[in-house]
Amino acid sequence: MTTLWPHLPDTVATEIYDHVAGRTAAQLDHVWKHRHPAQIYTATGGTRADGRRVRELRDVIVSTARQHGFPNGGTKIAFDRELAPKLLAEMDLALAEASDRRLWNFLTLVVAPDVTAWRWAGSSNRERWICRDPTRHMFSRLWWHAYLFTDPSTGRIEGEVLDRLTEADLNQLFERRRIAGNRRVLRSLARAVLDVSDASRRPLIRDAAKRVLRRMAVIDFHALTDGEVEHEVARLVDEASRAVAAESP
Amino acid sequence: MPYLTADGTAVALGPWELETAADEWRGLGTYLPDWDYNTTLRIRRGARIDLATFAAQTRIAPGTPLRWSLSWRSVDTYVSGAMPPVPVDASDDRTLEAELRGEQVGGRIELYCRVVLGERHDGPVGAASDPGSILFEDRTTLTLVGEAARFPVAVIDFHAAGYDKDASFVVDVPEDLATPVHGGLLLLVNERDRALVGAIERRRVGRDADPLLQQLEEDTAVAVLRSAVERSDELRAEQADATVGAALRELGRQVHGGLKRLSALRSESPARFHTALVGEARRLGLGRQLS
Repeated sequence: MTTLWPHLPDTVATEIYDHVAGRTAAQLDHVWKHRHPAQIYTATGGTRADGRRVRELRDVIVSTARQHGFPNGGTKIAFDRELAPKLLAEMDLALAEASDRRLWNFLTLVVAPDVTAWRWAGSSNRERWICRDPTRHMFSRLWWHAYLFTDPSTGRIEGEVLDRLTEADLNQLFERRRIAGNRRVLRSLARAVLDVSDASRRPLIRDAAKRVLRRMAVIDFHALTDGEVEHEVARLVDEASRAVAAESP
Repeated sequence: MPYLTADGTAVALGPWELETAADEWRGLGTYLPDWDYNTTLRIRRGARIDLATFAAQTRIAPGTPLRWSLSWRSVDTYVSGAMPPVPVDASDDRTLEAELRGEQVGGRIELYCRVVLGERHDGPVGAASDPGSILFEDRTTLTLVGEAARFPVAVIDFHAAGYDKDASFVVDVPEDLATPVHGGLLLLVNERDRALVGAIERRRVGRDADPLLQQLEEDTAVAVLRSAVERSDELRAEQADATVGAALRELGRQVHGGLKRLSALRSESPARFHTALVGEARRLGLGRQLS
């Protein structure tokens, strides 16, 4: 039985955002709530998270943030990496529920506006608060990172791979949704790219992703074994690496 | 390198079937209204390959290992999954089965049934060579959304939520037009309007339609149409199917003179604009009908 978390309608989310945008974590210290009068739930398909579950989730978010410097400066990337698997474990979401943007708006704007303001201090990017692209939102992107880097056969998150990827690397990988949607291909690509380069990976990921997408049009990666996927993706990354090196001045 | 593929004369697939009870099956169709996240779907279809025709069409040498592959991909999230591939054998006439767990799928999904090359093949020009090469593909789209989630209705405290306490409802159209249309449009109803809330509850349990609901339907359609007009500049042909943007664009196509006519009326005469919205909603079969 999955968990159904409250959702915040778009019109309400926009209104709250106008009140919280630009404020600091300290200014939003007492703003958080465990429920909102306009919150709604998906009609059926799981157990509704009550106020207690929402408070517990907030506790997880806040205690993780505190370990990384909240509400002052701190180590934001390390916070992201540590929170991602906790969100996956605590929230117990169905995939269709995780793709509902209103759920994530509830978390940033009602449950943890102070932590969001701390994590994105100095950023005016609205998408960190109001979910349009799930790969950009404060909490949605972390949940998806953890989910897509989980090996479904073992249930284990490849944390060591995730830790070594930069925010820019992750953005590049997750923007290619066909690649990101196939967890074996995504993890193989990330591993292969890390094997080839520890320096600036932007051109390498861009080139390798193009090659993988072209292959996905003619090769059914789901029909391959783990080893075959690994081998094929590593071959494409190797090709990409040589192509990028040849183009470099 | 491009390579040759097989067609429906080489591979015959039966219709998808859904298990409704222990070993009872019915046609799957394209839309499952009773689905929710707790539903596990067991589906199957018959499959047969005429290996001689297949080899002739693909130039794959007879006896080369082939695999059946059953996979699915969510149109909304792009997340995909698959059953373990099954080898094709010489007298291949089999039933392919898949299990789709509710927490892993949802919304609109595409089901792929494929025959792929099982191992490296060094054949003539035009023949596929790499393992996993797709030699035959069948795709079926299936919509998994419960009736209640298609256009959700939620009863809330309008005053506490910041809406006018004497209003009856508001249609929440997402800011992002790429939002999936199923569940993307939301009707929020004021809990103080007990008559309307009661009418909605009665309809949920299947009682007779109520004039209040007819009015709600009409007003909702007008609100959605108004939104389509107000955001017509953002509606573009490339918006993906089954998104709110695509639904608003399609709605605009169905109204007389399109959204352009309504946009012009909006700036010329608010009164005529409003009556045009009501008229278009009714001509779409929503709300009260004048005899």
